[in-house]
Amino acid sequence: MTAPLIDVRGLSVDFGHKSHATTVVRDLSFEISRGECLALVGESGSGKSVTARSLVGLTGIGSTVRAERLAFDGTDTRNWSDASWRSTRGDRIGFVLQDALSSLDVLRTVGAEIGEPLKLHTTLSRRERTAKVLELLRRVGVPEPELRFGQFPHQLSGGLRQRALIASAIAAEPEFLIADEPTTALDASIASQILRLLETLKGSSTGMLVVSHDLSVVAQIADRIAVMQHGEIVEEGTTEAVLFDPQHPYTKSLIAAVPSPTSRRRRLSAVDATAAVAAPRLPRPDSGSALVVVENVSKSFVGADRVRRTVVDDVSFSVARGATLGIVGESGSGKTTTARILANLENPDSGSVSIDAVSWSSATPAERSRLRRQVQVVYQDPLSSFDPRFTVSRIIGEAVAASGRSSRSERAARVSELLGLVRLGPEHSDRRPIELSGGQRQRVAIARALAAKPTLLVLDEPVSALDVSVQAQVLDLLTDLQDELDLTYVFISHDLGVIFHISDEVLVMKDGRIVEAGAVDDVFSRPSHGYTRGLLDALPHFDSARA
Amino acid sequence: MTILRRISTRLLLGVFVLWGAATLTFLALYVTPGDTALIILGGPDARPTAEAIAQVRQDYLLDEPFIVQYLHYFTQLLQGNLGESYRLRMPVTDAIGQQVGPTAVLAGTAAALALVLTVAIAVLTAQRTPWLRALVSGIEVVLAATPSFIIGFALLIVFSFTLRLVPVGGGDGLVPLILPAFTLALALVGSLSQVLRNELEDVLEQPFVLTARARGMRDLSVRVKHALRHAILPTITMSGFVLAALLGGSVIVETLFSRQGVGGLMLSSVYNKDLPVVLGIVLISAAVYVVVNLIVDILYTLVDPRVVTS
Amino acid sequence: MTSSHLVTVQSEGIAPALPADVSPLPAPAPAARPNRRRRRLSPGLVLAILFLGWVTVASLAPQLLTSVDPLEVSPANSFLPPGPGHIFGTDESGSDVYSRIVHGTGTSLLIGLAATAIGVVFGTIIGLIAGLSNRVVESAVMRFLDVTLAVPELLLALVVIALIGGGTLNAILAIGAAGIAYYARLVRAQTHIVRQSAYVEAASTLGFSRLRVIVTHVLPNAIKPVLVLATIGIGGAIGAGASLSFLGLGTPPPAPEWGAMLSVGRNFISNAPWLILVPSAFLVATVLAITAIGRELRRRSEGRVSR
Repeated sequence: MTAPLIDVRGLSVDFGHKSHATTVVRDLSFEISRGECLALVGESGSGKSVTARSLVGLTGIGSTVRAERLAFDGTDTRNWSDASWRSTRGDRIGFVLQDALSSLDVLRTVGAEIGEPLKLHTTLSRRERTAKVLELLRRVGVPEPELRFGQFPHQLSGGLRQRALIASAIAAEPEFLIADEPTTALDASIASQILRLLETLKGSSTGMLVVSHDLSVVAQIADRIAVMQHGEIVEEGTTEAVLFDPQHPYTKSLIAAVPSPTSRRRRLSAVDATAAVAAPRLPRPDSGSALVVVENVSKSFVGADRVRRTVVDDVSFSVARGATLGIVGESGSGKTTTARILANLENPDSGSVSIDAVSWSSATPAERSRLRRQVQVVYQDPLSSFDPRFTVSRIIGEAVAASGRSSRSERAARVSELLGLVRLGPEHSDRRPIELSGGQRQRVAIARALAAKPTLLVLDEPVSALDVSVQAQVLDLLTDLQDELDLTYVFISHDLGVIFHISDEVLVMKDGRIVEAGAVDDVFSRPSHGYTRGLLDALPHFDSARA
Repeated sequence: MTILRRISTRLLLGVFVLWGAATLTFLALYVTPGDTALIILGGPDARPTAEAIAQVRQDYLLDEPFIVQYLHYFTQLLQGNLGESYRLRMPVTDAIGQQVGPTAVLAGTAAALALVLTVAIAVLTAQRTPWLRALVSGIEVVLAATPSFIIGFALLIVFSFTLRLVPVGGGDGLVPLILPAFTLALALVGSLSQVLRNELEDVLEQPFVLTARARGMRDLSVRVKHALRHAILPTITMSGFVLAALLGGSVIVETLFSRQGVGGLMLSSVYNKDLPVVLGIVLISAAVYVVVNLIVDILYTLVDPRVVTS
Repeated sequence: MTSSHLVTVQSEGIAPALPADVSPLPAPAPAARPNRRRRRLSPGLVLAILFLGWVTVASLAPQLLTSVDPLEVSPANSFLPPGPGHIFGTDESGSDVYSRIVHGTGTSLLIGLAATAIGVVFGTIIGLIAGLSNRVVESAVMRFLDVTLAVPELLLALVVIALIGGGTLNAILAIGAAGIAYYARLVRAQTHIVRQSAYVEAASTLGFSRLRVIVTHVLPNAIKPVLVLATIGIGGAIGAGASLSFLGLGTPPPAPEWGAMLSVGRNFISNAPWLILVPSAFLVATVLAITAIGRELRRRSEGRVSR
């Protein structure tokens, strides 16, 4: 029996000096054989990226790596010199990071970037290198390789950039490929293409390690999955076993937390995933009274290149009182601009938006300020929406003060009531936003939005920056609040799973236009537009198989 | 935005800045406290005759209305005439022309020294062991906080009086240039290398640096071939600051080391309230600033492809 | 522009020349860790605070630190090297150098504080006018600032002195005036960043008036970091004052001012180097102490962990 390609026993990684060192990876063991793809899955801070980097000796300054065995192709790398590592990296081990715009040197051409490993590890002439780079570009599916060769990374689309990055990682034909969040910054349809490309690179003699926070990503290509939490592997097994028969509670909750069409009316953050069916949501009052009516709204902007682009093109829709409208689309589809027009943060070039039968454009100043309070916005990045000098109680207190005159004690009482509504304790009220976690920040943002007793919440990618388990809690909170306070939501996301989970009605946007609209079940089961079908195909299916 | 459009916008802006500087210069001359004719004739102590004063007022158009004086000043300026020195009795351009050589040599040498030292220090000390970093950045902070004439004193005391390696002054060739150029350069290095190293350390944290390392590139190559180009971009925009420091510093360094140059001329003109010369120097330094910034802008587009193509 | 840092740059002694284009002040880095623990002061910082304490006492009540008259002339005692009786020696007139240092502290500190105040106050007013008004007013102000920024600050200060003459007060005015454009640009840039920030937009969606948003959110966030930078600027202004005195354009020589002492001491550098070393050391120590405290303030206001 031949030795595994990667053999890790008792790996620990510490950061910092002895006295106040933090252990990021603790006593980890795994193997990867040739022809096999292992996935490391975990949320942020689980130590998955550090583990991947320890396999190429790049854990960085201030880190200490300890292991009983850390072997590549039968050779223990623990005492490798810098020179041994350098001759291995890029030549025998390829490394792909997320977000190719920041992972490729933007000041150098695509050709120079891909050719660099060849320059370092082969004796090919300049001409031979060029030929090889063009061949690599073709192999990773980049059209017009001759043109792309001389271009800079920012001139390529996100998907092509990621392909170029993969090309540079496989340039020297490595035996082992590490992909750290290879699809994270990409739109769903592009992401699935990249995954398909990675799958084609799996050969019988090469091994692969994929690191991701997203179970659905790794479900597509991994042979085995190792789930990491707090620096340890809590569960490891074949992809089938981990996804469909998880043993560890953390794995179960992680799988249960993934929102999808089938998770509707189910709590995502239930402690025990098997007892997931909580109180079903009340059926939405489908009384015909529409709270929001948007008619023929268009908006265009003049870009830095002085070209006028239509961002929102003749969009019309309405939202029933108490319902959730989900708007889904990829980046640049016009969904955020639509949301901003709804909240009157942007004026449309033409068309009208009315809330509760009052149109923004014809409202009197008094109606306008009432509407302002009635429509509140929750942003993707709550931190930047808080004054950095303010504490949590002052942030919410300000919003309370904005909603009408009140005494100091009334305000304080209302602030703690609002904190309670979003399930935050009083101990958070004196903190500054920077001292809170991402999920807590988003709760504060929601509390602030609720201070004005709004009827409509415009939620612009409110969970996109959150880990899946935190995302689950925030989505559950939003569902509960909607029932408790009879709110209407316009929920914007690029994530079809989230949209299907939370929405009653769905709009699919592409290039500023609505390409599909309807009740969520209809759109999911009978998509009429090819674009929607494409999005649905890119959706993770691993849990739809689960009964 | 095309590169041509960008440059022409900058060019227009530069012309505007020069026009504004010239106008302010003229206003300064116009509102000078005291009787200009008296200053031209050597101050009140010179006791000039009434005829002489009248003659000067006529020669210098001092009795003409504001707008006539302004237009006259400007037409002269466009012909390259910065006026007549009150004190030296020669055209300002000639007075400056006589002194510009030594200052240009000094500033050029100092700039080159500063560039080499800054890049070397930043590349070699970014993201190194804490004690080395603390030591170097401590030196930088002290250098940046020290007025340049004190740096000059320190160099003089160490190298001229204690070690007797470099003569105090006089002589030809490169030797008398060493201490002044280092004085001027060190004052800059303290500030510049802090900036460049901070940039470099930020760049070294970027994912593309990890990508480059994961290709098996050696550390120094990563720093020089990948990171330095990124880190130097924000530093390029500091060229205006560098230039100002060189021009302002030359006044002090030339005084300290008793060197010929524009700085000395500036200072003696300030002592004697010889405003045409003072303002002529200011105007020329503004012109140099505009030209240097224009060059920097073009350089920037060459280093960063994103400026042109995005 | 990719720069995101603030840089500390003292230019040729004069005012606090940060390069104008680099770095409007960053908002607290989102990546900063939730860290409420009070950071312990580093030994260097403690030293800086102690030294500034000494500077303050020397400025306000110099007689507490020395009973010797700084202007007392005694030719018999000239050029005594440092030693018992005169710990920093005597100068060419036989005056006690330590006493002159102590009595000169106030002037240097006054120049630093007053000149910075002039720069910050006028710069802030101009910067806010530019940052908060319409585009026409804004670009008019900004182009005017471009003009003044095209001239090195030391030359600008020299022009002011050529117009109004030298002396301590005029040096303050000259240094202060030369720094106005710098602070104005900084305030304007910061105002823009704050105005475009999501939290100002969030405050508007709550239904507050424009004025109220400006007063509660824009002004404090735009000005606070400028004040922090001004602290560092005080050190630069002190250096600038000394530079002008060294050139013979600031405080005139018999007065015990550090720059003036250096200007005179320069003539005796080979035989009485302490006349240079002692005032230089105090000058550098003062600027350094102020810079160190300013940098620490900035680090804290940026929520950055020191590296």
